[in-house]
Amino acid sequence: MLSRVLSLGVYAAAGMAVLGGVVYLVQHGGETVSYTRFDGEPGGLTNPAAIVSGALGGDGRAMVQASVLILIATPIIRVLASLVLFMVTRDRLYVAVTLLVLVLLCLGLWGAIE
Amino acid sequence: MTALVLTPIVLVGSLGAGFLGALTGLGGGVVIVPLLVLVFGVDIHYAIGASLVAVIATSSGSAAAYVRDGYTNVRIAMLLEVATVAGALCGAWLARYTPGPTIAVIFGIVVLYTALSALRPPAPRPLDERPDPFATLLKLNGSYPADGGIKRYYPHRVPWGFLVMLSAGALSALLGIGSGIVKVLAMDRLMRLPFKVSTTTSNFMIGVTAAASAGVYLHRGQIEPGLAMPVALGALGGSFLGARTLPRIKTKTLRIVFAVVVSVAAVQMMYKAATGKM
Repeated sequence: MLSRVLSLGVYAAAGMAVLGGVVYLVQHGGETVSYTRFDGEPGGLTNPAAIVSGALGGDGRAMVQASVLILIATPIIRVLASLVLFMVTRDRLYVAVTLLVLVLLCLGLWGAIE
Repeated sequence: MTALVLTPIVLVGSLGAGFLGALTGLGGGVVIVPLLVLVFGVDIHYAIGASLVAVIATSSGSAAAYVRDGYTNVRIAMLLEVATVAGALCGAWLARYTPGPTIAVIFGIVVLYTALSALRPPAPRPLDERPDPFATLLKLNGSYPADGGIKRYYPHRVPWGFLVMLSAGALSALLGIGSGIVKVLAMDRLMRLPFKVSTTTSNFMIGVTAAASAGVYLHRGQIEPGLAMPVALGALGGSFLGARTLPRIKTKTLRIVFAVVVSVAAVQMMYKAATGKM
């Protein structure tokens, strides 16, 4: 069950990245790219909600970022699955430990760390 | 360089990195960051973001196989994930205030240490036969399939392992690598887990740790889709190929070659940082 979550997430993310990558190259393939200076990505590619709406709108770069979101979500779902497992086996100590891991993960994902 | 030219080159480079990373067990991150920085002139902040995405992909891909085999200790993984995730958040926060050249120097030191331990794998030691009271309280004692039977093992020095895991998480976030070597160090040397259990449990934890810092970097705009896409896809494909090839290849020579290559890359990163060319 745990291992299936992991493989499914990776396949979904890889599929999305291929799709987004093709759309990105069609839309921007001819443009010169340089990443020698760090300027930061625009808001549409950093905020999860904006990424999803951009991806649904058919923007290749947002679709690639959506695949990154799926990838980040995969281990988090796996932690959630472990939480369920510990709850079913009434392992209170590890329910608490798992909840702590989830809280820490959410802090990062929701932009609490600047 | 246009996106149409850069994408396939980065894809092939990352494929090679993922392939070698899986074959040698050192992970692709230690090659991907210097590849992007030294060969493509990418700013180290973008390189770390892209590499972390690849780390999540390859770790989730390979961890799926190990959970099935019964080697991973989910309780130990979860307990130590508190440390690695907290460490990763600290590392990602620190990265904002750490200049690129400083990150490059730390990267070089950690990679040199990684290469050194790849050249001299630790000799197997007898495991502790008696349970440790604290580990027993935390219900960390486990068993694993060995020599046709089930063998029990008893972890020790849990607080020390926890502390080293904090730094493993911070290094992973700061440098864009899985830092599996530091994790194995904590579990194999300090906590005295069987080698197979420590390596698979470490692999299981790497994805969760990298997800924490990748979330921070996504918000900070350090994940550039034009780089993350070919790097993650290439590394993922490479690690799948590596896992297929692994049973049919002599890894000893390969580890030596790989260790030399990453050491040269590490020294170059430090040189570039020291001479102000970064």
